[in-house]
Amino acid sequence: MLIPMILIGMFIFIMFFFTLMRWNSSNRRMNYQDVWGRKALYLAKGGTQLALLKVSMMPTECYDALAISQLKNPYFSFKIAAERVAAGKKPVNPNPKEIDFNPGPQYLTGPGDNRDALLQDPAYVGTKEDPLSGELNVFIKAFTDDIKFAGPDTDPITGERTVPYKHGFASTKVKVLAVKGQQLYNKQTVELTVKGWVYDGMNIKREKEVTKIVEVERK
Amino acid sequence: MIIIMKHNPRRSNIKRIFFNRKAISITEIMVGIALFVLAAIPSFGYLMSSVKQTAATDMENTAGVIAGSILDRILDNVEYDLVDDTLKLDQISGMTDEDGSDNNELKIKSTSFKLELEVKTIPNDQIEFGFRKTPYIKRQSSDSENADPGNDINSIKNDAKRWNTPVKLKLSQITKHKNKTFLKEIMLVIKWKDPVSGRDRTEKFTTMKANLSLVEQQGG
Repeated sequence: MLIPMILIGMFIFIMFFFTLMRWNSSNRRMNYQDVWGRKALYLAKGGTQLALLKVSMMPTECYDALAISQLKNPYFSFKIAAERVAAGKKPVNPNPKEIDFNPGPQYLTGPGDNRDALLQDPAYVGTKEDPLSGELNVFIKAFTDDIKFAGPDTDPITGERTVPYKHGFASTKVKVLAVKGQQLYNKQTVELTVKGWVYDGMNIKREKEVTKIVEVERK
Repeated sequence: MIIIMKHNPRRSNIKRIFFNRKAISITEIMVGIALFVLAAIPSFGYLMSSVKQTAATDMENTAGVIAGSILDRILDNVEYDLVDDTLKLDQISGMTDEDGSDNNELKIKSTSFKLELEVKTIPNDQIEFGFRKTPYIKRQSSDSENADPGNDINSIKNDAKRWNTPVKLKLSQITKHKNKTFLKEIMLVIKWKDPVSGRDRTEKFTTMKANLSLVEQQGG
C-alpha cells in the first residue's frame, strides 16, 4: 500500500517541480533576452538619428544616390517633366530658351535597354538578403557606410566598440518606396533601416532593427 | 445473456496493491515521510535558488523598461540642447515613483533604481560624412528619354572618374551653424541592489541624439 502511494506522491511532486523549473527558466531567459534586446534597440535608434542627420545635411547627395539606384538621371527635373506631360508635351525639353527647359536623359538606360528588367536583376539591385549588394547601389552604400560609431575607441572596420560591452550599429537597407508610373517631383520616399547589435554575457549577438520612412528632396 | 468474466492474475495483483484494505502502520508512514523529505529538501533548495535568479532577472527587466521609457522620451520629446547630465530622469521617465521625489532615483516594487546619464557631445570636426560624387551626365540635345551612347549607365560605370570618386567631408565643413553641435552620445546607467542576493547591479544602455530640429527649422 505504501509503495504505490509514495510513487504517486513523488510523480505529482516531480511534475510540479519540473513545471515550476521550466516556467522559471523560461521567464529568466525572456528577461535576459529582453534586456539585451533593448540595448540593441536603442543602439539602432541612435544609429537612425545619425542617418537622419546625414540625410538632412546632405539631401542632394542622398537623392542622387537613390536616383542612380533607380537608373534615373539625378539632374533631370521630374517636376518639370510632370508639368510638361500634363500639358500634353514630352517630358524632356532640350531647348534652353524655353521656360520649362528640362534637358535629358530622363533615365540612364540606352535605347536598347529595358529599365524594368534591369531593375529586377539582382546583379544591379541586390538580393533580398543583401539589398545593398547590387551594382546600382554603390552610391547608396557609400552614403550609408559611415552610419556607424567613429572615434579612437572604435574598430574602424566593424564600427564596434567593446566598452561597456561589444556593440555597434550599421545601416542595412535603403529601399526606395516608389511604384511604377508614380510621379516623384524630385523627391524620393525611402525606407531607411538601421540595425543595432550587442554581444551579451554569453557572447551571443543580439540584434534589433529600426526602420524610418523619410522623404529626400534634391536641393 | 450470461457474461463469463475470466480471472486475470495480473489485474488481481494490481488490485491487491492499490485497493488493499489493510491499514498503514506508523512505521510505514514514517518511512514514507522520511523518503519524501529526503527527496524534497534538495529539490526545494534548487527551486528556491532558481526563483531567486528569476527575481534577479525580473529586476533587470524592470531596469530595461525604465531605460526604454527614459530613452524614448529623450529621443522623441526632449530638445537636443536640453539633453545633458542634469536631466531629471525620474521626472521624464513617466513611471510611477514610489518615493515621489525628483532625485534621479526611481523606486519600483520597493527597489530603488539609481539613474545616471552620461552625455558626450561629438564635435562637428569629428563627424565625417562620406559619399560618392554624383557622376557627370552630359545634357542631351534630343528630346529622348533614354541616354545617348556615352551617357548611359554602362558608359558611366566604365569610367572610374565618373563612377567612383569618393568624397569625405567633416560636418564642420558642411554646416552653416558654426557654434552649434549636432550629435550627442548618450549612456544611461541604471544601478540597483538586488533585494534577494544583496548584490550591486548595473545595466548600461547606449544611444545617440541628433540635432534634427535645428536642421529642420533653419536648414543645415
